[in-house]
Amino acid sequence: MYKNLSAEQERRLVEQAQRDPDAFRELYRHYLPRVYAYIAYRVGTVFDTEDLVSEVFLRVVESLGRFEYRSEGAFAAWLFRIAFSRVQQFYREQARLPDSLPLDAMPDIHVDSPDLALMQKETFARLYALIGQLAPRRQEVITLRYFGGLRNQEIAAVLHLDERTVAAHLARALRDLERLCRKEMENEA
Amino acid sequence: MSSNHHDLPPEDVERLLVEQHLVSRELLDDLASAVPQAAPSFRQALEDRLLSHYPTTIIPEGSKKTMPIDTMLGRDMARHVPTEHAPVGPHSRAPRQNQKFYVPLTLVAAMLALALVGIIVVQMNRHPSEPGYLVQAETDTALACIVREDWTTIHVVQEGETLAFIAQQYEIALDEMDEWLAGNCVDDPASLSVGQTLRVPPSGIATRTLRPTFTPIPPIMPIPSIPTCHFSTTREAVDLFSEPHVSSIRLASLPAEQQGVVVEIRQIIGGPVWHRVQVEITNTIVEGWLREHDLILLNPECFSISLIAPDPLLQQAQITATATQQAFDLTATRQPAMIVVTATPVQPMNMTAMAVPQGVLPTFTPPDFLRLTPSLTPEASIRVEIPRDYVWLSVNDTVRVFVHTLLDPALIPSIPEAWQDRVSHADEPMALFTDLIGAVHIVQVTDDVLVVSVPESQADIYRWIADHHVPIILMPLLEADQASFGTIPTPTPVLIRPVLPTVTPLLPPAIAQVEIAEIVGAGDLSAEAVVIRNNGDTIDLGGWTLQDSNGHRYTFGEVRRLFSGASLTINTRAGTDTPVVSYWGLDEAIFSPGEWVYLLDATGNTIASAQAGE
Repeated sequence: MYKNLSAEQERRLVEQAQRDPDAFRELYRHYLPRVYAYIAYRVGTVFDTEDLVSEVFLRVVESLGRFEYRSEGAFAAWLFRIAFSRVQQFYREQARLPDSLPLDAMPDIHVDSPDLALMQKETFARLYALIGQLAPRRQEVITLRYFGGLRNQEIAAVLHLDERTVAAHLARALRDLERLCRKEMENEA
Repeated sequence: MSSNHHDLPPEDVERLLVEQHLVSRELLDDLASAVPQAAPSFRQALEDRLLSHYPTTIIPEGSKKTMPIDTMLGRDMARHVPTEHAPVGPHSRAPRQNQKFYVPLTLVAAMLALALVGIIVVQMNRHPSEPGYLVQAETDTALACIVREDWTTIHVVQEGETLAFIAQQYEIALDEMDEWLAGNCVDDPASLSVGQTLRVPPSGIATRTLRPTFTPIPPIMPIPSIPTCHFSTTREAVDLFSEPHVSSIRLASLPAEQQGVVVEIRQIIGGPVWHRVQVEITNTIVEGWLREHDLILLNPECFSISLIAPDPLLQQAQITATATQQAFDLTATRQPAMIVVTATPVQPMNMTAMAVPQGVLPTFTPPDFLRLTPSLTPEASIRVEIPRDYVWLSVNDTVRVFVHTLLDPALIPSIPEAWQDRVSHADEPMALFTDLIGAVHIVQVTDDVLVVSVPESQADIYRWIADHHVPIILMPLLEADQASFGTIPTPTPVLIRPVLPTVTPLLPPAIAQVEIAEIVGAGDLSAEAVVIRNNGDTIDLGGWTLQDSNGHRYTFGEVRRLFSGASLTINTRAGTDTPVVSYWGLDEAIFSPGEWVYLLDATGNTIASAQAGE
């Protein structure tokens, strides 16, 4: 699982990053994988993912000075709010989304063995397709949670939802996914 | 801390998944690395680009703190990066490109485990985005939304229709309501008005993979304002112990002059009991499954029924009869229970449709509603103070304490192991309704607080309750053998705070008269089918089987609801199930004229049989 910074560490790092490029670099390195994974599962292709990730972080570097750390998890919520908004904008701009993704357009998955690389891409594609079948809210919740590595509380802040609602969506999304997987297996069997 | 108890740690998800044998641990571990990762070149390029954009000064130098970053991060990062055993020095700037990217093992694995078993062909049927998704602008709260223009069927809302009825008409399943509403940019179902048009998806919604049968959703009536309640009028009670299997009891017919009622239902004893409640309001019949904890607290003195429906849309449904005449049929279907009905006139109210916006759960932010004080008394008990807001009861020597939550058990942090066996229905996803504690002694009742004493041996339960903000219910304790009560115990509902269900409730077994109405086309694969009809109450056929004498067996899926008066056709051939037609999936006819076919319930009892005709 993702290792979250402790609230205090995060607060200090964020404050430091507001005036120290090195701290910002740390912040970036800490959050890049999460933002990247989240966006990858939202948009599907490496190309779009890299575009959006870049925009999100550029936005962050520009507006970080105005960010105020108010409460625990505030920065993650703020950051992912930007990412979430950018993803939403992406959807608005896409007139028609492709029905399928070529494997080579998919993001890389961390693998130890090159033999697994192809399989991992297929895995991504599979997950991506499954997640795509969830209700929109649940797609958000599940990707923010498991790929963005956010806590429910933070997701609630990102999506402007009640935390309880997030929990409910999450539980349902997991169940839905399980069901979809089974369905898929049955269909293939 | 107040919120974290909803936050199911991934470890727990993993645990649940493993426990449910969905995936093995090995697989979880194997598959844990399916998180997309940025290419190193991209990562570096972006980093450079960002730093070149980094503003020279954002904050005045004066306020600069000097805590070295790496010191702040050192310990955690070291743990974060298993390959770096030594903490990073305070001035180290070594790039951490190898920083291991830990994966949300559980979810990924859950999906992958199942997914990988199958074929590798990938089809992207649908992008996560869809028109109609509610798009939230970044800074404001206004929702921009795109109507699903591609849904060409238009429905005009008529007077008296509910969302549910419309949905049913178009075979929109419960779990599709979300999208359907979103596709119409209906954020608040309560805002629907007569004459409004709704776009309807061609045949269900594309995401449909499993089509559950639709549950009629009762019309929902709002409580425009909290009614004034008078607890002084009609009270009727029925002892169901004497007739535990009675399927229907008419409890009360209220005088015509009453303008409205609030109905209260309480279960006194016995396990969780589902009551089928039918409320007749002029011409509209509302029905649903009820449990006593579906009560919704309107104000400290007024309770009303909330119908539970397996959908968030209805989670807050208040059923309050407002017409001039009402009848209530309260049907206990399973276990003995006493039902106390309190009918309380309320002000006449308008009946207009209201529903709870999708996904909105009531705000429930319990304060520290249990205050635990270690006791100094010899019997080593603790005092539990429960604020008046959470309890409403008459003084009674003993109370029964239920730990009660409608939250998904999966969302509740681990229940202490020692209590697991006390958790009844833990396997039921919707509710833990647990009679954790037998009796506690009331020490003191004041206007503000109820103080009970609890043996120290049970104290941890209360601590857990307090820690996790679990709603509680207190009820007067009745001995089981007092159950043949001729007298109604002082009707003192003690209620608490419902938290809404988040998942589909399981239907209890119902007493229904299901019959095999017909066996048609015996011997002809294209026509061969068994027709089942339900002449009784709505029933869940999940786990039921259809069998013939030659060993053929068809098992109904997990949830297969057959409504009262409804029929279900099971074709022998293969096809795609719909709410009224199922397919056995065989490639040859199996019945011969004169052959007997049996319908068995989930426990193997033969419910019905019939002989194939010509």
